Amino acid sequence: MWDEILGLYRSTIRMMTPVLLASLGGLITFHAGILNVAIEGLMLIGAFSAVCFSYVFANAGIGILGAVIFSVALSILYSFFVTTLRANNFAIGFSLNIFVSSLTLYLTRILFRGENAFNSPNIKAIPELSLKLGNKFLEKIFSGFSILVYFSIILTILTSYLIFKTPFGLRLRAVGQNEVASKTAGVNASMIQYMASILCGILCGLAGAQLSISNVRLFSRDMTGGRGFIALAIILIARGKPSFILIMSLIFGFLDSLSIKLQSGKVAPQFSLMIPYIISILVLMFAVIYKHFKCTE
Amino acid sequence: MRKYLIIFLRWLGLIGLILTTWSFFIAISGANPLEGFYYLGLGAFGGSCEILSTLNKMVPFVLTAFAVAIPAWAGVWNIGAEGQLLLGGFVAAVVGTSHWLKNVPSFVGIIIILICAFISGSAWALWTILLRIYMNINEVITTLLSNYIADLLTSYFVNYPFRAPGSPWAQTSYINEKFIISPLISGSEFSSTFFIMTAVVMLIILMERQTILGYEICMTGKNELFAAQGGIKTGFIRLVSMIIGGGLAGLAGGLLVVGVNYRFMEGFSPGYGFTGLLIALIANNRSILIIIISFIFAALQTGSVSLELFTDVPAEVSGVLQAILVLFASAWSLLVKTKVKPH
Repeated sequence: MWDEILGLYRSTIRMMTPVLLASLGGLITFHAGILNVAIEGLMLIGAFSAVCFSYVFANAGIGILGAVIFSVALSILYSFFVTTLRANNFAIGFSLNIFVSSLTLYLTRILFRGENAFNSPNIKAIPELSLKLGNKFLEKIFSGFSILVYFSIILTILTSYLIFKTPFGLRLRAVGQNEVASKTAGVNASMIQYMASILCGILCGLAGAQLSISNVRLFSRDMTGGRGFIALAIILIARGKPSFILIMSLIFGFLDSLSIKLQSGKVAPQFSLMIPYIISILVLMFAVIYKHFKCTE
Repeated sequence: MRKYLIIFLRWLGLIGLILTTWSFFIAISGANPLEGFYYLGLGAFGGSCEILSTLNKMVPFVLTAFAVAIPAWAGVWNIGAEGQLLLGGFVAAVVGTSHWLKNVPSFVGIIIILICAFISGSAWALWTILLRIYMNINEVITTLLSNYIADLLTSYFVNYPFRAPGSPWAQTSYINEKFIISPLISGSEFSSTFFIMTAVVMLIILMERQTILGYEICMTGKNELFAAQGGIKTGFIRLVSMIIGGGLAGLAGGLLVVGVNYRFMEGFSPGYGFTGLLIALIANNRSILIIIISFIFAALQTGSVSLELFTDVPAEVSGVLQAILVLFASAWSLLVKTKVKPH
């Protein structure tokens, strides 16, 4: 029983990290006034390039670096369309998602001769950090996760600081609230939006790397499986607050690991896999009802 | 004269850029791009059979593209065409295999099957639009997530309750032979589903251009406040547009069952809904353009199969080529637009 709870807890933390990183990335562009639906594609290309680079160079660090580089490249492309050309961000976001989805599948087939997935023992995983805390119990709870897990907690605080406490964050929120007014005040709005998008690319690249080379060490077709869209729902539910995002990501990490846990039980796997999607819709509904009651009070 | 020259050069530039990028992506698999284009063309237009197959491939593309476009006319996003198509296909297969249609003549049976597919697609779109109208929940998120739910739901159904007895794969049994719309010419996949699709498209265009409903849908999308001031019930119109859209995606699934697969199985759709979304995006939701672009996309799809057959390029290249086409075309149209109307 105790072991099961501990196992569930540890997989919750593991599952939380990609969603947390992606929603932090989306949060930055959300404050710049862009609801970034390309998160899904950014994560997917991150996951794919992490596997590629880690396989070729046999080094997880280079894998992460590759994930970040390609994810940033894609987010610059996204910004070029959305900020410079003023394209509809949903339209471009979905086109990029579909582009990445078919491109990664195509490349898996021509580079690795795999059908829908690629795995190899040569892919190096992100190292796990073992903390020496002197206490067995504390070590079981805090030690032995991949480096990115700890990094993501630090990044939550950093992102929050960046958005709410720095001049850049102030300009970012100004652009998000009223682009024309902030332009009149002398803020280079498109520069800010590009920066936000690049930061989002970095975070989504990390999220992809955590997804593909931390525990499983493989790339499979559409392996993000809508996590980018769940991150989007989290951002909408949290209404831009980083602390809420941390909490919501924890909840979704828990649901994700619960659905994997339940798969081995009596419930049909399809229903347990459905949980995160249904819960995110229910939470969106609940948020509206809660707000409604708060207003009528 | 100079004006036409500029327009001509612009088009030439666009097509040149697209073809160059396509060659790049074909070349990275180690094939000769020119050879690749030759086999692409051969597979799509090489003979009457190939052309007819391409036309038949258009059916799900056109219908899912309209499933996205009609709600878009009313100002709502329907990203859920994939899920609506899956449910439509599944329900069509269940109705087609059921016993109580045994004594129904085939013509009536096919109509019943397609209507059921239409209704189930609409029903799956209904809850997302109700959440939008009554609770103001962003329909982009709900329709998106509804795809994953529909995928898992149909996967459960074909794995357990509706699995064909004794089948090693997750699939339903074949629908009753009477209800199969078989190919008209042997050697190609072309069947009467194409004519059903054409009739539906004609009805849609007629509705858009000639009826009050079409006018109200377009007004709601163009300017919601103005439409509401003019007495249009915008919420209701959006509901109707979404019901039509979801129904068309469901109908696409139903036509795939009666005309192509004759059953429903896991992995029924290789992403028809998302291809439809791309088509609607690139066509900017205009009816005629949707038909033209669906034809191009269908040609890429059928062409890529022969590409895989004759060269080392995997057929998945078609998705990449389609997405590149969309990105370049939207960039190009925006660049041209900003040239005409500088801000």
